[in-house]
Amino acid sequence: MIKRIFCLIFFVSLVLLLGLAVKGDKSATGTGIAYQTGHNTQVSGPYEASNSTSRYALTEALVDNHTIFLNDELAAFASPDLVQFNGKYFTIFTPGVSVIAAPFYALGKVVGFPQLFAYFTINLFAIFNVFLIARVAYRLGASFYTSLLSGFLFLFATNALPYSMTFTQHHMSVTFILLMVLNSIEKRSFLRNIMFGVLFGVGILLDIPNIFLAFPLVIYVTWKHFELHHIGEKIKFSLSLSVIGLAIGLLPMVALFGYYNYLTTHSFTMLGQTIGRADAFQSDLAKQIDAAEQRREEQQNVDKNQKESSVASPFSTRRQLLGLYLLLISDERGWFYYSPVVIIGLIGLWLAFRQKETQPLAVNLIAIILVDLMTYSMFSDPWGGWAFGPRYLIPATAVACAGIGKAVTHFRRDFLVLAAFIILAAYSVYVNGLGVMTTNSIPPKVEAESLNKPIPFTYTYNIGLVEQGTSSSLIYHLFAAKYMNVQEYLNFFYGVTGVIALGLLALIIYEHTNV
Amino acid sequence: MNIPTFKLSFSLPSAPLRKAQTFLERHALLIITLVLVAISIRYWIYFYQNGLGLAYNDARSHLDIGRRVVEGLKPGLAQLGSVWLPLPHILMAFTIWNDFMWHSGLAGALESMISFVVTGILIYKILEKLKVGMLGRVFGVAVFVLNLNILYLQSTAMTELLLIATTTAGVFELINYHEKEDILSLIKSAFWIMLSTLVRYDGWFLFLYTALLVVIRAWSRKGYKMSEGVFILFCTLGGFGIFLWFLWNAAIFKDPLYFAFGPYSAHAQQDQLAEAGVLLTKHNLWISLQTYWYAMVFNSGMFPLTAGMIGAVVLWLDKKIPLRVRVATTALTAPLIFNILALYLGHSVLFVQNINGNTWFNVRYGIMMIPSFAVFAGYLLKRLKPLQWTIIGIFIFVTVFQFVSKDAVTIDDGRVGSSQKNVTEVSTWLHNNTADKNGFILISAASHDAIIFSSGLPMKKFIHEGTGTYWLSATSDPDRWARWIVMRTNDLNDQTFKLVKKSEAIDKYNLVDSYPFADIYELKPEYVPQLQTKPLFIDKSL
Repeated sequence: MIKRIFCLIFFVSLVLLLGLAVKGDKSATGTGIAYQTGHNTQVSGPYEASNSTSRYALTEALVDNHTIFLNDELAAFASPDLVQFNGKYFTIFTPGVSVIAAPFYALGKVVGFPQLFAYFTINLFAIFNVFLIARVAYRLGASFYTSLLSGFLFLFATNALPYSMTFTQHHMSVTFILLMVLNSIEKRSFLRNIMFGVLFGVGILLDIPNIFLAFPLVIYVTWKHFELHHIGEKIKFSLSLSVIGLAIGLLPMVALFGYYNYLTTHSFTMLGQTIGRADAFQSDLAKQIDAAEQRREEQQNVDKNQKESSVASPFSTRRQLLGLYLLLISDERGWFYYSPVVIIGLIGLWLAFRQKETQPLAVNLIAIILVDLMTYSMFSDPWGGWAFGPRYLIPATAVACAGIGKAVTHFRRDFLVLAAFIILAAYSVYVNGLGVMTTNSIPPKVEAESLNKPIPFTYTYNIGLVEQGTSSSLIYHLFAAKYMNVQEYLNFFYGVTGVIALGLLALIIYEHTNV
Repeated sequence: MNIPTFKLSFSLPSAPLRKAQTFLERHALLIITLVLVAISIRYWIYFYQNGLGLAYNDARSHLDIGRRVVEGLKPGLAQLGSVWLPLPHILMAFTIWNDFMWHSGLAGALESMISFVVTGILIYKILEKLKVGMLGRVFGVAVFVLNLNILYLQSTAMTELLLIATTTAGVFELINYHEKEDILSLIKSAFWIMLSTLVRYDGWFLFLYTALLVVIRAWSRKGYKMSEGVFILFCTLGGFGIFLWFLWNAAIFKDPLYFAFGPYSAHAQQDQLAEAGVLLTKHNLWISLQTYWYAMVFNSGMFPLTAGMIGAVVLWLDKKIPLRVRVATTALTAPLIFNILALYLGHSVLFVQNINGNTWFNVRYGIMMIPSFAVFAGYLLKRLKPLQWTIIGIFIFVTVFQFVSKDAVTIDDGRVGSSQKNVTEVSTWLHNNTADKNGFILISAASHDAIIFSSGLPMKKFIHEGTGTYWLSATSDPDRWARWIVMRTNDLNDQTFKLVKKSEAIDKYNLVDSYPFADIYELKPEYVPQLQTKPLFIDKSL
């Protein structure tokens, strides 16, 4: 009972803390909130990146115009993540995020806050992920409070935080992958398999690479249906027919996706992405960015002849050295640079791997991390465009954070390790707090340096914005700005985050001393 | 809601299954061999059909050297030359007399293909020795085989695969010796290492390194006296190839170190590059390390390399394996040490993109570590058993993308890097305008072997450095011997130009065409009647 009450308090704390960072601003005239009526794409606003606006445009089109196609205004808003085919515009992304958020958008329209409500969908998924990670951490052998700490640090000490305020696929993908993880470790049944199939299918509708990320789980779950017994001089092979449930769950989602493709590209199997971006509404800045991206490709030295001889694939093993460097250690997007607290999580996963009871789960989690790393290290744009931290690694981050609980539980009496953990966690919170309170749009190095007015390519850009007094927080603009400057507001945010994290840590130590 | 679970079951008698399993285990090596042979042939055909098999300038030169041993104005063993070690060309000589074998490149590729199969088998055997299960052994072989760079080089007349096979065989027998301490294994190891010293200079370093390991082992077990004997035994056979090479250079070129310091030596080339300021690795350990690291990554792929590196550490820390065996396996890292040292000392040149601008050169040197990574990755699979399907799955995942994106840095090196030489225009001219006319072509093989090869003309049509009296006569009196001269005008590195320039006979020639790699001169018609068009000198050489 106490734990349930604690969970409720924890949930409310999460909502309030996350609420401090929700993006928005007063309109220039001082009436209403500008972003809910207009399509202002200025830096630090909720519409600052086209990976949000393109999806949001589809949500608007679905609810307002009852179509999946974008009119000129929405197409311009979605550009450059826009596809033009047969004279019609549609988003380059899969429709999952936009469809899931549509009811929230419609509800928001009723009360006059469509953008806030639509984006709130992502906030909800982010908070849900905290509890899912806690659940996974618990299954890995972490204690109750360390499990919650795992989830908390995922949301507040990694770039999952800034991406909880965007209209992107990351948090939803994490949710469905974690649900699949939890589903996969249960005993197989027909209904559970249908559910797994549905989760996998929705995952694909959210983002195509989820096929790769969830693939180890698909194989694991499928494999669990096969049995082999030695009976005397015979060997008995069995296949549980409940495996059909996987297909039954998956097929409707695949059919839905096929139908969406058919409507957009006139082919059940052709994805919008394969057609390429439309440049009809590109702004001067976007064109400048495109030119810079081209320069970046040249500097990447993806060999021309190799390019010509290759099948059109966004993935190439040649890029892996650069990709892994960028995604793991670089100051541009490095995992360990932006959220070094995941190191503790990885140690926790290794500890879980070493224990027989938790080994199957740990193997699946390690597989997800490796697949995520391998996939995006081969990707043509491991930076994730203008982004904050390694946004493509957010699913791997979630999985790695599940190991934090295990590691902290294991090292709870080792104050040296705990001190290192606190330092890494504090640094991670600091960095990602900067992101969520200002902007996610940090260019890759080569693009930042190629701009007419070069800007920093690390989170020092965000530090600069804070020093200039730029904040993306709606609460700050609406209420707090009267009483404090941006830096003080950020410190307040850090303070509350720190209190919750240290509170959980104290409870862990208390819990174990009592045991 | 409780839904009953239905099962599809069937039973099989276990005896036949056990028999099948036993059969597979017993004949695994044969099955793997057959699969490797099939893969090898399939990829040779693939690269033959798309013409990439002869993309490397060096591949054409190797084939020409082999051909000159059996055909030309002065055939014989002396044609083996001084720069490149002789074993690949000696092996080619058995088949290269056949025009198809020469011009298809198969004469040279055949030894690479056999080496490919042999190396696959050796990786399997080494892993078996390290008590790795069937899955790990097959995985190790797969890491080696499912690599486009390996598949490409095994389809060419390059020397990498032969070197890989001989060094891997040497290390395999060395591990045997360290495990069982039988002299026969030591002799076998010395034999294979001796062969490797006749393929590339990498083998020389392996010889030194393994000799050191052998001495340490013998000394630690049986003291100084015994180690002295073992050392002499090992070095006598292992170093025999090196001794023969010194002897050869002394006999043919009157200088035992001609291969090292002669005008065509790597040393001479590197000096030129150093003078031009492009030999960045020389005396710079960091750039040398970085360069070879990049070359390894681009050749092996990031995942096999990482799995291999972790596997190596796991193997060397595994106390279940006797220390002496673990020490012996360090010989698998010899190519790594050698290449970094060679780059640092300025004896080797390797260009990779991102370090040396936008070009490749000799990036294939990074391939030498792939068999080692394959062994270590196979071992890793054994030690990380619960993760084995994850490792296999991810390997398949990245390999699929390597094949889909046709990512083979060695092909880029051969096609567009500094290792390529597109001489189609000049060789086509020669083919179209000289094939049915009498007369010799004066050309420097050192500079233009690719042209000789690509022209499709018989070797005896050419007067080059290896033709002795013909060369001396033709360079002093070109108009009496050469109807055509192919050379880079005004380039003193081109021996033909350097010597012909002195004769002042060039006025008797018309410059008929000029190409990026060479100019073609043809004797003016009024001098043709005095021209010697038939072989004249009786060959008394080797």
